[in-house]
Amino acid sequence: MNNMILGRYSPYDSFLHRLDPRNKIVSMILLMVALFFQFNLPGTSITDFVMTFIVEGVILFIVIISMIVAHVSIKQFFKSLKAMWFVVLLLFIINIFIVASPSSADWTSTMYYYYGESFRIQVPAWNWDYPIYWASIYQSIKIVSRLIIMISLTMILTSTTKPLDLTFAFEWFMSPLKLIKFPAHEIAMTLSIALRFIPTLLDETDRIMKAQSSRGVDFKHGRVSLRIKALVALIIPLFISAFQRSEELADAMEARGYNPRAKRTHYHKLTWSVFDSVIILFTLAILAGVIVISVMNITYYTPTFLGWLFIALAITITMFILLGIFSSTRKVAK
Amino acid sequence: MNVIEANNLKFSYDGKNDAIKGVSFSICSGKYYSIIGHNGSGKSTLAKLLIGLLKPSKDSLKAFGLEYNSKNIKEIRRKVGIVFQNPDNQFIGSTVKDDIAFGLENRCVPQKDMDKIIEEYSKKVDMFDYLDKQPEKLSGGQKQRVAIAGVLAMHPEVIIFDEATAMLDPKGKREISELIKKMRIDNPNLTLISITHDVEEAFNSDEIIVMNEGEIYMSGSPKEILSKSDELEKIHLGVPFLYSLANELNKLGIKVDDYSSLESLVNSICQ
Repeated sequence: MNNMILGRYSPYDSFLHRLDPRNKIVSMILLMVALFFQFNLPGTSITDFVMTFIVEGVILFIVIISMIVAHVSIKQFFKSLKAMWFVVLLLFIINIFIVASPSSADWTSTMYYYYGESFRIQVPAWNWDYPIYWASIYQSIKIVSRLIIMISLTMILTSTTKPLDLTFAFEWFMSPLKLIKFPAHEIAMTLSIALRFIPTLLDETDRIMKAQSSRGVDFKHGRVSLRIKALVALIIPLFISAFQRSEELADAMEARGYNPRAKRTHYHKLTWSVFDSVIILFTLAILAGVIVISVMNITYYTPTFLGWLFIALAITITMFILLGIFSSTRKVAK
Repeated sequence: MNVIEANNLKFSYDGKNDAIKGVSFSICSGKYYSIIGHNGSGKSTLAKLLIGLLKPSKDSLKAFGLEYNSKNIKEIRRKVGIVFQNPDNQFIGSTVKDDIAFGLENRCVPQKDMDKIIEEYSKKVDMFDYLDKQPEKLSGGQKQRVAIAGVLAMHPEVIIFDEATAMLDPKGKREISELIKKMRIDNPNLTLISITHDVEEAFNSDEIIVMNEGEIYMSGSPKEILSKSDELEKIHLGVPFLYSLANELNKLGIKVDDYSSLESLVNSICQ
């Protein structure tokens, strides 16, 4: 269950694993922001698409190298993309109808902005003839590729960061809110206990299912309504035992001197290294570059653009090579 | 020196029926006590009272001369530690290391000292090789040992075992009782209170308190208690095979003195 939601943690010790979780979260968000910049240039829509794909290409390049470095499970990655097919189809259908012809174009809305070459689909039986603009296909591809890169970015985060470290990072981000009495520590503690008890409760679920199956409850066969009914026989015992557990856990925590409002020290210290500074400067540079391109209407036919792109790529590659030299990757025993 | 003193201690969950019906006892420093009784005899309630999870009535319970109230509870919990029955439900950290650190964090131990303390106490309970393991990879006995390390790391003067071995297999039980023996040798001032329904386990202690329906049924040294097997059976507590065998043999006129283990029993019969 845990793995399905968060992506599996890969037990390696690469330099991405060693980065500060705070840095990884911020860098991920920065790259996602960079991904979603619009390049609304006057004239044809194709310029926008090409620029989007160039920017996405650079980010994709970083993502792919990171995924290799971090030993992200390829199987897991494609599994998580499987659910995307429905989104692709839906986006395509929506875009066919939303990206309309020049005659219906409303220049105030970006969605209606794109037009250009089109082909027609004809269904004579229904007397249906509808133009499909290439722009709608570009638009779908653009959104889907952004989604894929976003999924990859979160996968890199979750497969290189232990869930518990993420909780600590979130606690750190929320710590300014403590001034307005926001229970940041309590939320982090709740999250970490939830993470701690996922395997325990899964074991429990398994045990209850076996116990109920031996009493004749069928979870796997029969009509859906019957199976849902059967689930009641699982959920009620599970809830009761979870409540009992929580009571005993609260007792154990209290007996060991836990008081959420009292001051306490932290065993886990988040450490910010030189690598972290390098990485966050690098992602900031990418974001800055994208902002400049977007604001100054730079396009791929702007004379110096290709030169700058090559410089950016060269810096990226050198950085990864250097980081690769300075850090070793080894598998950690589970 | 008496570390804990109960004087006509009463407790009731619902205000009508008393779970503890006025018990008085005192716990001496450095001794090993067993509180035995069958289910519903009030022994777990007593454990919760002793650690301050339930509030005793005024002037009825004192630990280290301190009254159990919200002001003193922090101080009492510094000196009294507890190991509960369910190994899973008292494992708070996500790894062995984190779990031992949990109590230290609460006590505001500086972060730089923690690793040393964790190393020391994990070695004491023989869990040093498992520091990075998650609880689901450990056996029940190992989890209980981690819980003991977590309690020991806080330097308590009294440790309560609330049926700490009840959910373990025989191997786990043996490991824990070995560990208890070792703890007593390491620190002779440590007071242990073991709450159990396993009479055999209680035989190792210095004094046994037998509880029945919220009252102290009898108390005394293990030999005294176990010789009254008729009375134990009256409150549904079985006497271990070795002791009942020795008792029967003694009744038949065959003198058997040493029956603390199977071997010594065989030896004393053969003599």
